[in-house]
Amino acid sequence: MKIDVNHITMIYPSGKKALQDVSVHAKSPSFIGILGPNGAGKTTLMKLLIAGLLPTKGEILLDDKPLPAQEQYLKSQLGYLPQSFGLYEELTVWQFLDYMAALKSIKGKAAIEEVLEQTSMTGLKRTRIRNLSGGQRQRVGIAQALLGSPQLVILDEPTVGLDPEERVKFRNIFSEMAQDKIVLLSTHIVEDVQAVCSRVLVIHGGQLLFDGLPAALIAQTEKHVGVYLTQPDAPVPEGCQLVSKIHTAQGIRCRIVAERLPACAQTVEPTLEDAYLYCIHAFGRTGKGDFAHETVS
Amino acid sequence: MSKIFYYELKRMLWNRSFWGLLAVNGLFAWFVLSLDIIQGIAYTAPFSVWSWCTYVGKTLPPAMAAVLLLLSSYYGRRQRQVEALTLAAPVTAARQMLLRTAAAGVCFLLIFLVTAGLAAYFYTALFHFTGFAAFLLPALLLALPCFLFLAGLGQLLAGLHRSLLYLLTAVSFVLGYCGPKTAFDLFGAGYFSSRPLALPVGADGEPAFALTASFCAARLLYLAAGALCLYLTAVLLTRKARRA
Repeated sequence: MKIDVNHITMIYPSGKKALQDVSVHAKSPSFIGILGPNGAGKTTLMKLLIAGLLPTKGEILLDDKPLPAQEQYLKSQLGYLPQSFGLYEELTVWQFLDYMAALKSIKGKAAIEEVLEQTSMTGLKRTRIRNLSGGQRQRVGIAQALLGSPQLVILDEPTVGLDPEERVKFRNIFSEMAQDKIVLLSTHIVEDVQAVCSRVLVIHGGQLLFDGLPAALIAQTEKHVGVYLTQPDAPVPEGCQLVSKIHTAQGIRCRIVAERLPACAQTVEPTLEDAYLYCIHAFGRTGKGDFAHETVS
Repeated sequence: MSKIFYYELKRMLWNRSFWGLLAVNGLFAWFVLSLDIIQGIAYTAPFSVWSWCTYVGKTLPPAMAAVLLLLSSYYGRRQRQVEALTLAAPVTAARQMLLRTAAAGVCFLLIFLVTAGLAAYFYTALFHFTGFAAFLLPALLLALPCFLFLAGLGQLLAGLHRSLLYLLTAVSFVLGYCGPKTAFDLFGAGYFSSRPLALPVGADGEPAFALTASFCAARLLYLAAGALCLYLTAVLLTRKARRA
């Protein structure tokens, strides 16, 4: 499978510009992490990719054909988990998955058994959805997205509500799936992207700020990440973005990203989270993405 | 498709509201039989086809109100949240709507069978009447266009705004008892209770039952209008799915 997003702009009827001239190209296999703050345009991009929205400008090609003409094919190959979703409370886990399998034209029980196993829901398959916890509902959502081993998996904040152990487990499942599929993972959790994604997109203010390897994003942040010790209530130096603040025996250890680090800060190795924050910080300062885009095919 | 239909039906039947509405319909039907139909309609026997049609016409408004209320749950906030998942599936929003209309049709049929069953018991127990074969076609001509028209119009209105469906439920209920007594009477109670008065009395002391061309034409019009409403709803839902 191959997806080409060509110069997409999305303006909602309310006038809100959600995406501006975004181009992304992906083909199987790839595991793409999408990072961005709230309201950056991640969900809009995902809705465009599932043909839930029509772009104001630009086009999306699926296997070199326009998406509207390929909508049925797309949906037959799609596993989608939106950020917020509902489930039929009166059905059991099994019945809901059986219903979703029917909507996806997936026959037989094997596919349902498989996703129940993958999401550790086998023991809960006869439980009514109304009796599930938030995390268990999220797992049902993930399970329906994985039904039938779709070729394109789009996951919008899939690990919300899951405990750390489950989060690690699921990101490994997604990683395995990405061996022969396109998996798009939108998340706030940079650690998840760092752990499993082979490619990262950073979106902010409707613009694509970075598209490339996580290592490349990190490399561009070298010498822009530092730590220093400070006192409580001391302000963050001007032009710096605070990444973390840890109380230690010596005082408060602050981790910052900045175009120019203050003299008091000691340069450290950047992580993907530092790089992401620096990317967003740089955009806030200049109003455009300073980061180089890698060509990823 | 059969599995999707099965689950849509299961969800409607699992709903406690359905059983409550069924009980209310049954109770109402019994009151209509024992207080109204027992006297015979327009000087005909209680078990005449005229009386039977009037009975069907009087029990249709609450039956349709029940169907419209069941359908209203598909246009609420909870359903929209589930649609975040279901609209990403290959089965289109239009097809899902048609399947749930069919499921609502089964619920309607169940309500109708309960009211018809009560009438059968009533006629058999009180009048030892068992000639129900003549009742079948008029009942079908009354119930089917009524269901298709209101289910279609109701879903079209609900697609625009859910509150319009509630308005339609109230308006149709009022029209069921205060509507025109012409061939265009959607439920037919007014038409069938007044029509015998305009006909000559036959050898058996009752006007012979006959369906007029204008009545049949009106039923066909309601069927066509209902189908058109369903088509427009399908178009509307497809457009809405694009803005999900």
